[in-house]
Amino acid sequence: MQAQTYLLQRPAFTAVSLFSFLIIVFVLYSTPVTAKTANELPQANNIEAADLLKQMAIATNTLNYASTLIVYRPGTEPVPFVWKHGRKDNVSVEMLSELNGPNAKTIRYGNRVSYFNSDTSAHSLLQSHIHGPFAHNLIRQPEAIETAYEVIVVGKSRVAGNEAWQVRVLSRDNSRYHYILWVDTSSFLPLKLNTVTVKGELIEQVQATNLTITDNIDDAFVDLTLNDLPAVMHLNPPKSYRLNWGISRLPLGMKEVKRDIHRLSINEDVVEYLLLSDGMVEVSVYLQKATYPQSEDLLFTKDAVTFLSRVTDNIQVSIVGKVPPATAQRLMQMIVSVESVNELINP
Amino acid sequence: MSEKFEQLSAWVDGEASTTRVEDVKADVQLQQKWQDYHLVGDTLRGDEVLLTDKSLLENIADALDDEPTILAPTAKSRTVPIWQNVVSLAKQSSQFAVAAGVAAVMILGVQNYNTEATQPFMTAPTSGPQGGLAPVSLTQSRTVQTPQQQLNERQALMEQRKRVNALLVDHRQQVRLQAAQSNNNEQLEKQVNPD
Repeated sequence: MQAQTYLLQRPAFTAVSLFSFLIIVFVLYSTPVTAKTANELPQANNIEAADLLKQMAIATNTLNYASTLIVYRPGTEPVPFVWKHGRKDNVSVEMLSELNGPNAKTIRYGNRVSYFNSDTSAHSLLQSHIHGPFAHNLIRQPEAIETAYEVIVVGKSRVAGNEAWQVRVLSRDNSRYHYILWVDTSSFLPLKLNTVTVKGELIEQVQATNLTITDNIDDAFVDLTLNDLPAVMHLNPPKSYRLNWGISRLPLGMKEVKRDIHRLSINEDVVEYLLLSDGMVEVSVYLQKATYPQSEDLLFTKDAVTFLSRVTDNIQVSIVGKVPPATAQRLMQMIVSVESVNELINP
Repeated sequence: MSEKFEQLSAWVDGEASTTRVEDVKADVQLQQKWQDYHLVGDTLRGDEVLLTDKSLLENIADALDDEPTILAPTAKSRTVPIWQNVVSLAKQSSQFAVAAGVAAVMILGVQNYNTEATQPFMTAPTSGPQGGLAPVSLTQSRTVQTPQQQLNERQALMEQRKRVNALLVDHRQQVRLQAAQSNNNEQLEKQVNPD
């Protein structure tokens, strides 16, 4: 009241300014109140991170759903996808198709994944999942990322029109990117996934714009039979290659999942190859004969993938993967010949 | 006192501040400042400002009146005929010339200063062999470059781009195949026992 009488004492202070002052006072009073109630919500009905991931894994593998996803990486055009899943005759069927450009489509029937791309002939592979915008282990096999990442439920917010749990997936040793995941509170399906640097800069964003859950299977799957899909390409069983180099120290939770010698499909170069994985991201390490001199390191990030290559003693070493540039550089420094690896293991 | 106003300013700007509505209610000075800050903010943002309170303008006018007049009396200059105006204009323009000269020197100085500041960064990549003969030979080799060499350089760049692209594509394929190989067994087990 004191403020109002003061204001009224001043003749020049018209009703307009008094009104705006009152509105500001009202806004200032009301905002902290709403923020407080929002903070109290998750405390009222909280959920354990492990439970949440488990429920999400069940939901993604069992529900009939369709979702439109936008994948955005700063500096590039957003790419829209349609993602559908259903249970057909008790088998999980899944479809991922790009909405822009050539009609690139991937269909999974059980463990057979068929690729329909404009640049390659249609083919099928035996796979458990489609490599889609959402990191597959995060939404399907959360136990695979446990060693490298810590999952914390932060609270609730609203995404794609639905109430969603907000979950932070943090690299335990800060050597990988962090993730923020939003999961629908009612269906436990993923709605949004941000990939951010340790400093919080956005690297990649997957955002669902709608999510429909149905009792019946989507029309796209009704007429689908295994016979419609291209024949399975059988891969040669992985041979054990012996490379005379290795990586002396891997970041926390990262494992060597493959080593071989193969030819690059585009320019037929022979490379010695090592694939590392922490469950969320894969990192490729290539060793090849350097055909051209390269005085400086080549380091860039394209589509959220970091590329680093260095030429020393006529050998080109390249590291490719969705990891921060600093981690790629550290991996580069950890490459040693096999004798030193053995020394490290059996000193 | 200034701390109080600073906090109020932060509050008005919507930043974290210790100022509360009660403080403003209780403090006449703060109320005055609160109004002034909003007025200043509106003016700076280019919002339409409705000056309902003339006290600020009056204050400015008062302050101007109180300002001691140091230069020539204004009354005279108003009554002088046109040719005298021309003379004063000429005088003024000579002052302008001096001012422009000073400004030009300043700009040059700033430019110089700036280039000095940025130069170390620009030359940083080649800063290794600074001094001696190395830089000269380096620049010479560049100027003497034949079209053939330029072509070679461009080709080398193209080649590099191709090699990088080949690796990026291979990485994508490997990631895709990896999913096939590592999950085959688990998936088969799952198919047998859906639970």
